[in-house]
Amino acid sequence: MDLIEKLTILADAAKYDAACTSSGVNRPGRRGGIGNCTAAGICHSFSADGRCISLLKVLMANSCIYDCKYCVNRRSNDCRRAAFTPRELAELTIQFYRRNYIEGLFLSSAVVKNPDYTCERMIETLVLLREEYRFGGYIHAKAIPGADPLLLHRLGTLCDRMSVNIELPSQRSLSLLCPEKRKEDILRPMGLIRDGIQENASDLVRYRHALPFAPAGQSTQMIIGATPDTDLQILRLTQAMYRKYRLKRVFFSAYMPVQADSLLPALDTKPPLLREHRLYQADWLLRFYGFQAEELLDEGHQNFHPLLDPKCSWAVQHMDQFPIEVNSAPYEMLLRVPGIGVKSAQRILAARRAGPLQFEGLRRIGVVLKRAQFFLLCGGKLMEGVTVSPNALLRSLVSQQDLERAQLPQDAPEQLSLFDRPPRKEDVFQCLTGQL
Amino acid sequence: MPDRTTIAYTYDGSFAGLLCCIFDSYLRKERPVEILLEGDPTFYPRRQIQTDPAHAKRVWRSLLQISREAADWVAAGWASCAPNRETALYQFVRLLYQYGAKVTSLFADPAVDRVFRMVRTQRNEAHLYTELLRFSEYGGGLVAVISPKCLVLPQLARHFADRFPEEAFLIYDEAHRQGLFYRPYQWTIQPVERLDLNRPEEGEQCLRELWQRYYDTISIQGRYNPKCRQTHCPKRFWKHMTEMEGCNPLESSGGQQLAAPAPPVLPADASIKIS
Repeated sequence: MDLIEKLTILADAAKYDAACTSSGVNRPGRRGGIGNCTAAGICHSFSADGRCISLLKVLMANSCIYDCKYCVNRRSNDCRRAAFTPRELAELTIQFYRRNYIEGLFLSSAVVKNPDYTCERMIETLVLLREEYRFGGYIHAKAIPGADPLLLHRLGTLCDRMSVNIELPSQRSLSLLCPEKRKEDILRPMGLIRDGIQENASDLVRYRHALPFAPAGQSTQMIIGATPDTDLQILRLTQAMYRKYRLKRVFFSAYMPVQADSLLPALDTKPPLLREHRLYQADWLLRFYGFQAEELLDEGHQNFHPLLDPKCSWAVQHMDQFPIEVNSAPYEMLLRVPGIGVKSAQRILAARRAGPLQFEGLRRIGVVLKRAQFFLLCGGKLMEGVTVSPNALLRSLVSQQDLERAQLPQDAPEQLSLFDRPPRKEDVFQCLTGQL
Repeated sequence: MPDRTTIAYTYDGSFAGLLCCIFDSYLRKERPVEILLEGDPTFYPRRQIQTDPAHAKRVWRSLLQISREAADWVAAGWASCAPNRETALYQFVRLLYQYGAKVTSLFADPAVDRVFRMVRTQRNEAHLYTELLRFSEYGGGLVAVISPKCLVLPQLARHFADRFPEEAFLIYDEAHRQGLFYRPYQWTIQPVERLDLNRPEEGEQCLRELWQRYYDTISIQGRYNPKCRQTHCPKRFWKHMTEMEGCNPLESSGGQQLAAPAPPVLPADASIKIS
């Protein structure tokens, strides 16, 4: 089998991994070597599905001993199998890297023979890259659950970011779809990596020759929509991951049906892209906007609103806390206003030190007044012509695009009737404002 | 007596020339309404400003003294090649002298806003080229062709010199006809009249195919979203990107090698003088 075929098979097998970030570590280039890293990360291309391509994302091998139902590489699936040799993969990475195609390597693998063997092959590749080619670019490695802690530790000193995929948001879903995996198997390496990073932080200060251990932290991924878990469950789990395991990122991957099984959604199910999008919005609110999972969703509302983004939805339910005065409100409160992001909140802080702000100035700063107008006062006044009524609010907060997306035909079967008509915009507003 | 405002300055189109306009406006107690190139039409009486490197240096040093960040803004605003950037930068520098270093946080001010947008455009484009630029190997060296709207080569030089310290590379800016030449541990930016490239060797062709195959394989059919791709990676970049169709228009189909002509030796600030 030649290289191009191997690349096709092993990239195809890796493409359902959502993470393709190259962020979290700053490392200048070294003479005699090749490559550097910037903390913000660099994307290098965008594929036809609009996702960024930052790393060469491939599997080391795709013949797996496990039989997880949702996975294309499962043992019982009849597909072509291939494996890279460490030399092939290292050479390919370097050649792509020096043409500025990629920012580094994302190395994962199906579990071949046993977890230890798989981990050793990955380490072999990374040693070649780091030591022989003196590669200073980004490397993201998958920790193989079940591998020896010493091997995982070695892997961690060679790569920048490590990840263990939690795959499914609850133990029940996990035992249903991956009978051979247990929650503990996934969480144990996660804990090991966390402890490794913490230990390493003090080692780096104490010893001159300490090797950095996964300096860009660890991340995880879970599949959305393969099981009946609610957004609330997912968001709570996400929050716990950030707190307990100090993850840098949690990725969500809308479930793409790849095989028919009575336990899985039907093959013609559309991937729940809007749901994935809402979860990412909420994820940002957790990480950068000071929100808690319990504020965004509760037992009464277990899923996100399809028409309103989580921040707008929170603001509409807490109108008693608004409007706030731009020129004196604290940063934490500014962040909670729909239409103000981290950058514009910081710019407001800087600009209001120099003089009082007006709405025209806010527009220049980059505040989206269409949404923010209902929640802000400048010099004690609302923006000219703004009246705060539920109807006006929703008209501005629901984007046309979301509205159209929400009106796409639903999956639920429905009795056809001569008198049915698709809901109009007015109906949706009435429904949202509680008039219907 | 208030400064005279009914006048337009003309200058020679160089960065030093613009700094001299600033110098002269204070010297002559005038606030030019516009700063133009020599041939541009205007309704106002015009005054031609002579470029004097010593004056330019004094102005530049004063900017640096007040605020390093503001000076960076002026340089980036200049490199943005935006229309009427001279007038906007002039007004910004006046504000800088008036308010001092805090001027870079007066986001609500229209003049500051104008310059901030130019700076952002320039920096964003430079960053986009660190992402989307593609090298090809020709006889051991790497060559990339770009056609940016702004002058981005100095930023690219710093980025790629750090990243590929042991390589030799050339980045040719098609739009502004200049090239960035790097060989281990030193780089220079010089004007390049034209660049003709040979057909790539077999190894290079093979790697391109590998990359194109990877690019096509990695996208998930069920999530096809061309609009999203175009938002992140605008179409004007595609013609030089290996994985997109119809790239590398500079490569002749014949096979006659016409290497980049030996560039003339220019002073060190050549990158700033070419507009």
